[in-house]
This record gives sequence, C-alpha cells and structure tokens, in this order.
Amino acid sequence: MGDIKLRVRNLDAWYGDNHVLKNINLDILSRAITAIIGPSGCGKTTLLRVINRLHETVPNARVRGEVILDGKNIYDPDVNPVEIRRKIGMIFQQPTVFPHLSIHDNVAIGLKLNGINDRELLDKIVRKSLREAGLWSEVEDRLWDRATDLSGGQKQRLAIARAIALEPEVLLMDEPTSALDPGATSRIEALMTNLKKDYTIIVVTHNIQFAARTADYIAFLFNGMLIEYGVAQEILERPKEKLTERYLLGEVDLERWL
Amino acid sequence: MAKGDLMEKLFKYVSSVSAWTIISVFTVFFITIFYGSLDSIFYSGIKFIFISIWDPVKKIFGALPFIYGTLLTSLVALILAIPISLGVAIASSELLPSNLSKVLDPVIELMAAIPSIVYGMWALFVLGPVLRVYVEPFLNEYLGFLPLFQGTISGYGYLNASIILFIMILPIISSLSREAIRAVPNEIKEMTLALGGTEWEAIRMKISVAKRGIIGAITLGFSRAVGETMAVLLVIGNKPVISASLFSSGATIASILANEYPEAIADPLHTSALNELALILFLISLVINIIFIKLVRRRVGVI
Repeated sequence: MGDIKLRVRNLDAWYGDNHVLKNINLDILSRAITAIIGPSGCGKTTLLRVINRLHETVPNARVRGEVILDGKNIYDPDVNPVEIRRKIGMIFQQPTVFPHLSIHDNVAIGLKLNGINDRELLDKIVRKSLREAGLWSEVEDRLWDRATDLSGGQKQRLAIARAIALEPEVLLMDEPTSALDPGATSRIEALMTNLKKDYTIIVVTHNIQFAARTADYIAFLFNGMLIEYGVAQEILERPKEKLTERYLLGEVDLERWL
Repeated sequence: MAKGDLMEKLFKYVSSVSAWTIISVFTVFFITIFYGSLDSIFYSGIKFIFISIWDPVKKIFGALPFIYGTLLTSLVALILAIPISLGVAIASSELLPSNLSKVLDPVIELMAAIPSIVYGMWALFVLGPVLRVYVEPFLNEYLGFLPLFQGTISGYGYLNASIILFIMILPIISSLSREAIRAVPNEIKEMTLALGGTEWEAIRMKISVAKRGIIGAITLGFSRAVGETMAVLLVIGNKPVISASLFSSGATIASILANEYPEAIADPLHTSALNELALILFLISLVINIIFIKLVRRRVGVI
C-alpha cells in the first residue's frame, strides 16, 4: 500500500434533517483509484462533495467531522474552501461545458479564475492539459470554436482537461461515464488509469464492472454508512460483509441484510 | 389515405397559413404607413429628419425634436433600468431565500401588468410634484454644472417621462433576465466553484451564460420605452423643442402622434407628416432590434 493522501474521520453530513453520511472513516491512498460504490441514495455523491467542500454550498447542508488532506483538516476554521476546491478537482456526472466559451477557454477558465492571465502560459497549460486528457488531436484545429459542438465523450475529456489544468492533488469523479456510450467510456477508463500515475483519484459509480476495471480500492456505502473498504479485487471476489456480497450479486432489497 | 395523414397535412397547411398571415400583416402594415407618408416625403424630403421646427400651421415639418425626445427618454430610462433590473434578477434568482423571491416574483409580474395610463396618472399626480419640490432642485444644486440639470424647474418634461419609462420597463427587463439566469443549469455554478471560483464568480459565470437572454430582455425593454405613448404624453409637456436640459418640456414620436391626430385629420399634409413620423418610429424599433440581434449573435465570448 502507498501513502495515505486523504483521511476521512468520524464524518457526518446532513441535508436539512436528512442524515446522509453516518460516521464515515476512510483512508484514501495516494496515486491510486478508489471507487465508491453503492445503490442510489446511499450517500456516494455526498461523500465526494464533502471532500471538496462543495456540500456546504447547498442551503441547509451541514457537515461534522474531519477530512484531512496531507495532514491538514480541510474543515478547520482557518481553511478557505475556495483554496481547497482548487486543490481538489471535480468531474461531474453530466458532461457539461461552459457554453459561452471556446474549447480553449473552457480549459483556461479554471486558471483565469485563479488569477493566471499570462496568455503564453495559459496557451501552454491548455495544450498540455488537452494532451493529457487525450483530446488534443481531436480539437487542435478548432480550439477557438465553441465547446458545445463536442460529443458527450469529448465534453467529459474536456472537463478532465479543465480539472487537471489546475494540477490538483486529488481528482474527484462523480459517475464520469454514466452518460456516455461504451466507446467513450473505455477511453475515459484508459485515461483514468493513465492519470493515476500523477493524481489521487476518487470515483463514484454504481457500475460494478466499471469499478472492477478501473479501481485499486473499493469502498461500499449503504444508507450513509461505510460497510466495507479494501483492495478492489478482494472486495469483489471475497467480500467480508453479507451486505456487500448481496449488493454485488445484484440484489435490490438490501435492507434485510443490514 | 389514412386519417392520420389527412390530419397531418391539414395541420401543416394551417400552420403555414398562420405563418404567412403574420408576414402579410407586417407587409400590409408597412406599405400603408409608407403610402400614407408619401405626400410628406415629397413635401419635406430629407430635411424632415434634420429640421428642428414643427409648425403644422406654417407647414414646416421637422421631426428632429421628436426623434431626439424618443431616444433621450428611452436611453435615460434604459441607463437607470439596466443596473437595477439586473440587480433584481440576480437577487431573485440567486441570492434571496426562496420564500422571499416567492413574494418578489409575483410583484414584478404585477408591475408589468399595470396599464400604462395608470403609470401616466401616477407620474402626473405624484411624480411631477415630487420632482418639482425635491428632486429637480436637488439635482440643480449639486449637479447643476451639467447642462442636463440646468433650466426651469417644473416637474414635467424629459426627466419625468424618463423616470416613468424606467419604472415601466423595470419589471420587463427584471423578469425576463431572471428567467434567463434561472434557465442556466446549476452545474455551471457548481463547476465554477469546483474550480476554485468564489460564490460571486460562480454567479457571474451564470450571468455570462445567460447573456443572450439578458440582451433580449434589454431589447424588449428598450422597444417598450421607445413606443410607450400614454404615460409619456401626460407628463412630457408635448412641445417640439430640443433642449440639453432634462427639466425641459419636450415630445416623443409616440406622444406627438397621439397628441396631434385629432387636429391633423382636417389637413392631409399634416396627417401625412404624422404618418412619416410613425414610419420613423417603426424604423427606429427595427434598427434597435437589428443591433441587439447582432450583439447576441457575436462569436464565442471571451471570459
């Protein structure tokens, strides 16, 4: 096992009165892909949004507990959430672009938001990020066209380019392929495997095959509780918990195994 | 042939007839106004839009004071309305708690539904005296070095008309801009936040995405101001003069049309001159719309 990048400690989260995460404890390893799996509504996405402090931007949302990034609790009062979100990139479920911006500016926007305005530097980083995201050859001759004309898979790779342009320390991905066709999905999967050399990736998915193909570690969440966490292959082949086993077998009615 | 096919054909037929109806009405409308103004066009020629004297008795017809009044009052109204309605739109779509915007939204819609004569009467009986006693003396004292705020204080004239136009276009621009901002997916905001943008930068991003809709809202507001008749007629003073002072009486194309039609009926040339004024109003609206359409269609924006 590698170094621990991120520690989640005694974490609880609420939307209003709805207690969506219950006492989560989880260590995320550096330069690996950790998949968070579980049925819809189990709190997977919330866990992701707690890690980059996006959860608290929704009205009535609350968090208690600690998320420790490189030894520093990001929920300490002296931490600026804007700073944290720069360090922890996020890819959303729907492949969304900024529709009023060109392909180039869709990548550059994160840098501009963080005060980088030097044109040459921007161009350099945009090119590098698009190459890393495996999109460069498809867009190099139309960088200044609007990004809305790209296909779903291209938009998602553009979102990845946008996130890695900021050189974040952690990449969060919320079901990055659920809106994509199989071809685009396998490109994203290959890209993720490539990216984990440089980044710590946490990916939320309800697709077990996707997790099996990409993840090094798997965390299984159910009803806001972390049921099981470990090396991907072990979780998939020899789950210790009955609940995990039933979920992996595709059983819908999981409550009775709790 | 199946019954479904017949319905389909019928539907296509009916809707294309409807579309052509609009185009025909527009064409007939334009041709008749143009035809009605022919006498005046031959009589005054190009001077019509450059002369600042309007004297139907002496048969001198110069439209410049009305063009000036129309553009001046509409522009002042627009300058006042744009920042405030954008503020209202941003507040009600992004900042206010939802129970407060549930009160604000219907109030805005209601304001848009009030007939213009009601606004006109309010401007006549309330706004006029307030301007005369408080606002205009204040502006004159502190900003009187500007030609805009010099001259005789009366409470009626360009300033009153501009303010009532501003109040009338405020709800239109506010509610349409608000809807444009609301139509932007919330992901735009979350994506901006996730990139290390601040809350304010995220809202600004939504506004840039909604830019087309907001420009459309401003266009509609401006068109409404340019064409507004009744409220302006009551407070502007209806004098064909050009003055740099906002306190001065004046007239707009729409107000002079409503004001002079009854007396013009006896004089064909006067009637024709009013027709030409209507034609110019029509063209002004057209030009405004074209300019704004060009603005909207501009290529991909810069950040």
